[in-house]
Amino acid sequence: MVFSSLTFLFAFLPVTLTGYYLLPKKAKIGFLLLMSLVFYAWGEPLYVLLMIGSIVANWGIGLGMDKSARHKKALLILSVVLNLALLFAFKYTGLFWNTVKGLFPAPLSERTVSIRLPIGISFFTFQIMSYVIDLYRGKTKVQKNPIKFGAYVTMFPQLIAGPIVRYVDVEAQLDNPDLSIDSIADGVRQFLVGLGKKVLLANTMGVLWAQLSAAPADNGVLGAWVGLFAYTFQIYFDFSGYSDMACGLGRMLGFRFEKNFDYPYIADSVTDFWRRWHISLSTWFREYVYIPLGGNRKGLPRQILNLLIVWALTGLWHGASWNFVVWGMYYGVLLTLEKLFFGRVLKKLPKVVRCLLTFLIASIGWGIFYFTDFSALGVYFGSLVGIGNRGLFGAASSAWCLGFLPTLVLAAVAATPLGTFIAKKLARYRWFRPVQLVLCVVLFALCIASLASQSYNPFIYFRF
Amino acid sequence: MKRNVWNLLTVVLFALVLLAVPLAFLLLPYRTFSEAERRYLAEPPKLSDEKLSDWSYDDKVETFLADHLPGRNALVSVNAYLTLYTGRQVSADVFCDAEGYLVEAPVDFDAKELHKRLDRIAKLGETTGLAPRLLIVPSTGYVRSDKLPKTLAALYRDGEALQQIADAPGVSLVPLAERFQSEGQSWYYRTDHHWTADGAFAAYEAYMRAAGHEPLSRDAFTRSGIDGYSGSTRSRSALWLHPTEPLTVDEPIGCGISVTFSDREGTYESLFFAEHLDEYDWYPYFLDGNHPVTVIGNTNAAADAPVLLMVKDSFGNTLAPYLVPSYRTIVMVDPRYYKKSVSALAEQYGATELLFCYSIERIATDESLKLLK
Repeated sequence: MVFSSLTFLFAFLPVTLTGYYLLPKKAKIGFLLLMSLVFYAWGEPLYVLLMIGSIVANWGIGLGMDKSARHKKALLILSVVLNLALLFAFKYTGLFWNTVKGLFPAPLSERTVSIRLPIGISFFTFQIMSYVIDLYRGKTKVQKNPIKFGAYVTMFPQLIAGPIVRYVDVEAQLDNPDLSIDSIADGVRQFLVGLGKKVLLANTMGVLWAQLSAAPADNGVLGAWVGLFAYTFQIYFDFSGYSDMACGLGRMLGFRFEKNFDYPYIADSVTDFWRRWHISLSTWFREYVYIPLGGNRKGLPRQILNLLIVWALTGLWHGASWNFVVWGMYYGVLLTLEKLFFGRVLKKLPKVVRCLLTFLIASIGWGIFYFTDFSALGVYFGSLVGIGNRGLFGAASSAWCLGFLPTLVLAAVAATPLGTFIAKKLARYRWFRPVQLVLCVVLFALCIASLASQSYNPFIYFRF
Repeated sequence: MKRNVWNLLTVVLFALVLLAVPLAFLLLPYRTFSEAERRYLAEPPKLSDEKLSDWSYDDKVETFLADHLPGRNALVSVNAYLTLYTGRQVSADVFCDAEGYLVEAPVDFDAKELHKRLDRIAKLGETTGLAPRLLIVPSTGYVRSDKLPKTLAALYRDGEALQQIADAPGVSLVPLAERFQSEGQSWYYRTDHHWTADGAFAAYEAYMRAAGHEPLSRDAFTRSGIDGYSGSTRSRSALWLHPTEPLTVDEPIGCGISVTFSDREGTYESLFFAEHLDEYDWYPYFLDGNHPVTVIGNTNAAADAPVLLMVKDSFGNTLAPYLVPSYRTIVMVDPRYYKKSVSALAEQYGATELLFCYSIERIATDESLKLLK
């Protein structure tokens, strides 16, 4: 079930919130666990059992680690192996098999492997691992209550597309959710902003990108670039919209999640970009991979190696396809170069130039990210530099680009902190509160209108 | 304190929407058909049809909810106006031009596919010994392209398609598009893709001249208008604040009319079927809409008056009333519903002329024309 669906908004959410608020405090967490399982099972009626199995196993391992200091390390290894094996089996078997088949075609070519990816497996597996690893490190206490542990992992706001909430960050809140009106109202507003980002901006950009990516040869050079920027905005508003909705829903339920995006398209370097994009994932990789590998403490060559390992894994985490690895390595190499040479050169450029350059690098990255087929990637990137396409603009692409120009401009503005800045300034005035309320109502109405009309509504980040 | 009040109001309003919509969904009467959209709404999905390995129940529930959402018409319309006013109408099926005409987006035509159909038509000409004349109705967007933004106007390729038809061997194109383009009359409805009485009359004049007859003047017909017509482009666009318009009708004077249908009992003395004015789609008012074969006799025609075989789509239904006074018999065939031999029909009725009356969209895309025999 996705948040930007009528099923979620008008069936799941009313039932869940009503039950959650009306039940006594002790029963709330259990109810949240139950509804989160319903939420997951609605889209994955079989794999919900897999997820429950994984939760029970890791909860048990946690208990074991707490009881027996002697077996602590062995249990940690067991848990990590178990979790990664599960992830590998369901996410990467197909890729692995096809790659091996490509290398040794003769004896293997007959068989194909197709395993459907359980929604959100990459997210909940990483959440579970954060708990077990932190428990091993003594950074957190054991969770003896399986319902609370289950509620942490399955909590529907962040279950299927993040943010990746670390156990240490919500541990205390599991016992004491903040259900004040102010907090809930903040949650409602954040949820509506996220819904608007997804439904009104991401989906619209998606329509433009679908049109322009279908036949790159007809676009012309400018059309191809507009298409790439449309996708760049689509993926941002799609994912950050989802994160906003997740954080908003978390607030409505009394939980505060760390922010997952911080205006990544105003970043002035690639390093800065990754401090602002999918923060919870970068934090996870830094905390549980980069630093354990030695981080920057073992000399420069080792640091570079660590960076490349982390970025190859980050790429692979995004999808079982080699283009994601290429995309990860693209950033690994760029970040290394930036650390070694470009960083100093970049600093001498005016900030606007640095920001535009970073945006361009990110856009090209999204191009690599989008095309799982390398020949299609080649064709599209060719069209960006005028290979294989006709002129600057095709007839259809100019109609589409001009038509979508106002939304593109709106998207570009919405990707900057300008809106938040103005809202903060105006929050001082009394008259702004009713205005803010009216804006929320209009936004909600437009989103529902769009949902009632359109069938084009897939979240990009559900593939992971 | 003040802040609290507005926060409370925000939460209360959000909760009200979340609760009121499902409540209204449960309490309001269940609809199976949307007149505004002219389509059947999704039926409740059955859980028993689902396989766990190929789970798509959630998608079906979503479609069902979207179709039956309380206030759906208003919401869909809000979204359509939002798309229009933010300039994104290129992504819609229907464009709204500068004068509020709702025109169909261009069809992507394939020259090869078009020629397959033209070859079939030429062959029918050879079999029947009648020269096929093609009366092709250009699309509204093409004729009114000066009222559309340039980028949208550039997407219509009617000119190219018409040229190909004009150059094709074995068929002759009746000249019409030039007149439609050069004289700025209301050839088309604002809310429908069809031509108005003016458009159909101009087509009638063009055909008569091409066939070597003198067309009758407007005085040979009585004009009337039926208010409140809302056509197909209006329903498809969801731009439901756009006004309706009169349906224009020309009735030939002094003809002894008999109409029969291949799939409807009885003989009728009128070309017009008023019972359809109570339905959501009024266009079948003309000759009861589309039938496999419709035969119109005129008892007041001269004994040696010609007999016309008209192969047509829905545009033919509004053209026929003008042709009635000049022909003894008009046999109208719609190959979408008539799969038997058209040349046999020509022989059966002793046809002396062969006319194809089609919109440019249908001539380029209709599959049934490829099976014509």
